[in-house]
Amino acid sequence: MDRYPVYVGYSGNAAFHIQFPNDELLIVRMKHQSPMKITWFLLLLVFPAAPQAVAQTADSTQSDSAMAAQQDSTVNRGVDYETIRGIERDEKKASNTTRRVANTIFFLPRVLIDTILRTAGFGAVFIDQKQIIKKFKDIFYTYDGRIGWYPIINIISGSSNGYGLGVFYKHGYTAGSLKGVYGNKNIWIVKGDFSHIFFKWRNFWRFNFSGRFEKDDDFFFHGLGPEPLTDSRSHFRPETDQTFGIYAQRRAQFKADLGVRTSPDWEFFFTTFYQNRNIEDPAGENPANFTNVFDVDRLPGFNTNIKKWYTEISARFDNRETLTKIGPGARLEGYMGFSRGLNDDNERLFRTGIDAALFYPILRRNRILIPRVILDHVNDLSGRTEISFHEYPRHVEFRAVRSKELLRNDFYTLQTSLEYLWPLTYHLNAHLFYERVTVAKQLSKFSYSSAPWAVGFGMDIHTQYTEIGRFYVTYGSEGWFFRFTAGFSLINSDRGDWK
Amino acid sequence: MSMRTAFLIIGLALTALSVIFSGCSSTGFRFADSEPVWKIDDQQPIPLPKASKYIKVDYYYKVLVRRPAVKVFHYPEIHKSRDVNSRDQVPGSSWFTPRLGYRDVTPEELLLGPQKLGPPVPPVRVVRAKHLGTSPGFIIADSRDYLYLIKFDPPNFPAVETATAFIVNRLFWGFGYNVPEDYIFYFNSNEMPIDSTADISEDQVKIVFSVVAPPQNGIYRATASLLLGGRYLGPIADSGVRKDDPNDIFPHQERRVLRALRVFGGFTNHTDLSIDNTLDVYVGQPGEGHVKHYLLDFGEALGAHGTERGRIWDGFTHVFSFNEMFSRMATLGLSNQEWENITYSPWKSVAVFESEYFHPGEWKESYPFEPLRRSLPDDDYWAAKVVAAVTRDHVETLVAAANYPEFGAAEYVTETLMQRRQKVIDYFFAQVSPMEFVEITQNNQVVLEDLGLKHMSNPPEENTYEIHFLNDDQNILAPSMKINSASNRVTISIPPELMKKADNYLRMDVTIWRGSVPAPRPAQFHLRSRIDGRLRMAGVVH
Repeated sequence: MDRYPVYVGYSGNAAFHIQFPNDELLIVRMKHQSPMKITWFLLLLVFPAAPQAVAQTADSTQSDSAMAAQQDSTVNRGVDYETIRGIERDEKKASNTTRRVANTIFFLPRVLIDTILRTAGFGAVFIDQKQIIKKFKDIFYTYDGRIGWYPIINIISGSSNGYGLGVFYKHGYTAGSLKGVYGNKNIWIVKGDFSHIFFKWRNFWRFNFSGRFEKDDDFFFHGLGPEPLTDSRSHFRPETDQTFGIYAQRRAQFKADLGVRTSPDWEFFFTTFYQNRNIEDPAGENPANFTNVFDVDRLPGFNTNIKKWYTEISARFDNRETLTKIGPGARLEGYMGFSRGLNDDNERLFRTGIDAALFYPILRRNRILIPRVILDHVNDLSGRTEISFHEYPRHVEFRAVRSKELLRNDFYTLQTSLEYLWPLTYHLNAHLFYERVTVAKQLSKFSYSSAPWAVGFGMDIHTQYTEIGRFYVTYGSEGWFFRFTAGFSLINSDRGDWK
Repeated sequence: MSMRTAFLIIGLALTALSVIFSGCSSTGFRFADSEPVWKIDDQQPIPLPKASKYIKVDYYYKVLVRRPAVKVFHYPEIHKSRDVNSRDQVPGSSWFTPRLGYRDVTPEELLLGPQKLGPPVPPVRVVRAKHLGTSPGFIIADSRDYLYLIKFDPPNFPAVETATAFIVNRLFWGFGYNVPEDYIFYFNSNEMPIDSTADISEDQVKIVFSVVAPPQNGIYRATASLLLGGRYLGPIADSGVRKDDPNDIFPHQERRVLRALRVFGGFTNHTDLSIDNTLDVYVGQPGEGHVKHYLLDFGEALGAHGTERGRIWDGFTHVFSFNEMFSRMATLGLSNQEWENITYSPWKSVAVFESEYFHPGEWKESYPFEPLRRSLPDDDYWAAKVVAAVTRDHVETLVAAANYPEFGAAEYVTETLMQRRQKVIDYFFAQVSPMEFVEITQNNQVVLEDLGLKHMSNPPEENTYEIHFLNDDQNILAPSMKINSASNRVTISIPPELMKKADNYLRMDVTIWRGSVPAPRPAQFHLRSRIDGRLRMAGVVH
C-alpha cells in the first residue's frame, strides 16, 4: 500500500474512510475516541509511515478484512458486546451541548497541557534511577543493573549553569558514586563517595566515606559583626563603595562519618575530615573582588593555603513520627568539634552549637507552629581576637540568600524563626515563615536592631521517607529571593558539607 | 475585517456548529429476544502476549498529575459498562466468577475462598528475596516445593496486615474476583533455613526480621501468599485493552467488574487499589492458554494503610489532588474536614479502621484508579447488592479466623465492617430505584421486588412506585400509575392491548418514592411478547 492517502473522508458514526492510491480502502472507526486522539490520528496520516504505525498500535485502525483475518488466526471470539448485553440496539444519549462546546473550546489547551505534561513526565521517568524503562536501562545500566550513569544539569539563577555526569554502583546495602559537574573553568566539582549500611549490636549503622575536589568563585563576604559596614574588624578598604567582596575557593576534602540510630528518637554521629582549602580572588577584574573591597593584610584567612583536620561528635533527638510527615514533637541537635590546622597553621578552633525546634500543633495535629533557634559558636583556643574570616559559623538555614552568601559573620551566630507548616496533600506541605539572623562577638551582645530578616512561603514535596524537592520565595531585608531544589534535600545533608 | 479573517471565522463557526449539533437525538436500549448471557467466552486460546511494561513513577505521575490536569479541559461522556448482561448483571468471565449476590455462599465456603493447595506445609526454606513492593519479606518454598510470598506486620502494629490480608482476600474472592491463596502463617525463624541457591543472605533475612513485628514466644506471624501459576504479564491496564489479547474486548474503564471496586474498596477501605496490585497471568501452554486477571495484596485495607506514617486519613483523600492542594493553600489549612478528627483505635492490630466518618460516595482510593472514577450509579448499585449479600455470619467467621491477638479487636472490626456495609447499601441503593425482577405470572403480571426495603436501614413506611409505560422509542403509551405497597413486592398487570400498542415491546420505568422523595432515576424493565402472548423480561436497566 502506498503510504500517502489520496482521500480522507468522514462517513458519520465516528468512522473515517481513507483511500490510498491503489484503491485500497481503510475504514477507521473512532468510536469513543476523544477529539484529541482523532486529531493525532489525522496528523499521523501526514507522515509516510503513519497508517502502518497506527495499524500496529490500535485495533480500531485496521481494515475490516485485516481485523477479521487476525481474529481468525487467533481466536473465535464468539461473543460480542451486543450479544452479552442482549440488545438489538444500543442506548444512545442525546448530545450534551454544553459538554460539546466546552470540549471544542478547550481542545487546543487540552492538547497543549497534555503534551507539556507528557514531555515532563517522560523527563521524570528518564532521570529516575529505579524505574527507567528498559531501553534506557540498557543504555544507562550495566552489570545486572548494579552500575549506572546519569546526566546532571544544574541551572541556578545568577550563577553559571553546570553540566556533568554521575556514575554509581549499588548492590544491597553498599553503594558508591562518582560525579563531576562543570560550569566553567572556575566552577566545577568532582565528588566520590562510598557508603555501607550494616546491622550490628542490635542497631543499624551507616558508614560513609567521601572525597571531593572543587572550585567555586562566587562566595560573597559582607564583613564581620552585626553591622559589618561600620565594624572595624571588617577591614573595608576606605576607597571602596562595595558592601561585600567576592572570593573564590579551591577545596579538597576527604571525610569519613559513622552514624548509629540507637532508638527511634536518638541518633549519634562521629565525623572526621581532612581539608585543604585556598581562598583567593575570582578570575578577572571586578570592583567587588575581595582584594578590592577588603584590606586582606589585616583580615585573616585570605590568599592562604589552609590544611586542617576536623573531628566532631553530634547527637540528634527527634521524637516526631517522621521527618517528612507533619506532626507534633521536638527536635534538638547538638554538636561539638575540634579543628586543628596542619603544617604551619596554628589555628585551633572549637566549634559547638545547638539547633532546637518545637513542633507545636495548633487547630489540628498536622497544623504546626515551629519556633526554632539555631545557635552556632566558634572559639579560637589560642585566644586570638580574630580568626580566618571563612571559619566563622554560617547561617545555612537562613532562607533569604544563597548559602554561599556570608551575610553576617562573628563568633556567635543566632538564627531564629517562626514557621507555620500545614499539609496541602499527602506528599506536599506548605510553609509560611518569618526568620532573622544575627551575630555577635559575645553571647550577651546579640542585637536585632539591624538583623537581616525575611518572610516567605514555600512548599516541599516528599516521599514517605525523604524530601525530594522544595521551593520557596522570600522577601525581606535582602529583597526577593527564590529557590528551587530537587533531588536530595537539606534534611539529608550534614554540616560537613560546608565546614 | 479582511476576507481571509472572515472566512476563517465562518469556517470555525461552521465547524463548531457541526460538532455541537451532530447527533442530538437519543434512543434507549432495545433488548433482543434472547436469554441472558451468564458466561462470557473470553478464555479462548491465544498466543502468549507480551508482558506489559509498568513504570511506577510514570503511572503515578499520570494518575495524579497529568490526567487530572487534562481533565480540567475535557468533559467526556461516560458510557455504561459493557460487561453487563440483559439483567444488568455481570456474567462470569476471566475477570469474574459469580459468587456472593448470585448464589448462596456459606461462611465456611467463604472462609476457604480461593484455597486449593492450602497453606505452606513445613518444613519450609527461604529461597528468594522479595524484590517488589515496599514491605519487607521474602519467598519460601514448602515441603512440596510450592512457593509462597511471605510478608509481615509493621513493628508497631502486630497482626494488622496479616489479619487484614486474610479477611479482605476472602471477601474479594466472595465478590467474585480472582485472588491468590493467602494465609496467616506462623513459624519459628529457627526453623526456616536459607536455601543454598537463595539470592538472599542470612544477614539480609535477619534484617527483615529486625524491621517487622516481633515474634510472640519466638513465633512470627506472617501472610503467606501462594505464588500464582502461569506466566506473569504485568498489571492490568487501568484503561483501554490489552492489545495482544483478543479475548480482552472491553476497555477496562468500561468494565463494571473494575468500576465496582469503588464500592468494594469503600466497604473494606481497600485504598491500595491500583494497577500495582493487579496482575494478568497467562494460564496454559503458549498458544493454548488465555489471560486470567487477578487482584493481589489486600494487606493495606481496613485500617492497615493507616499504619504508614501520615496515612491516617486514607480513604478520604487521594495522595494528591489539585483541588485539595489549591483549597488548602488558599485557606492556609485553616478549613476543617470532619474526617480529620479520626484517631487511631485502641487496638494496634486494627489501627485506624472506622465507620463514623466513612461516606461511601466520597470514599477515595490512594491513587486514582480510572475505572473507579468512571463508575455510574448502576455499577455502584450492582456492587452494593453484592455487598448486601455479605452477612454478619460471613464477617464473624472471617474475623474469628484472622485471630486478632488483642481482646475486643475482633468484635470492633466485625461491627465496623457491618456498619460500613450498611452505609454502602443505604447510599448506593438510594442513587437508583433498587427494583429487581422476580417473575411474570401466568396472568402476565410482572412481579418486582424492592431490594431497598429488604436491605436499607430505616426505609420509610410509605413507599410509592411510579410507573411509566413507553415503547422502545421512548414514547409514552399510557398514563403513568402509582402503586403504594406495604410489602417489598410490587405486582403490575400488563393488559394485552398495551403490549399491542407498544408493538410487542414495552418498557416500564419504575421510580421509587421514599415518602415524598423520588429516587434519582427509574429502573427500566423491557418486556417482549412471545408468539403465544406470554410476556418475557427482555432486559433490565438501573
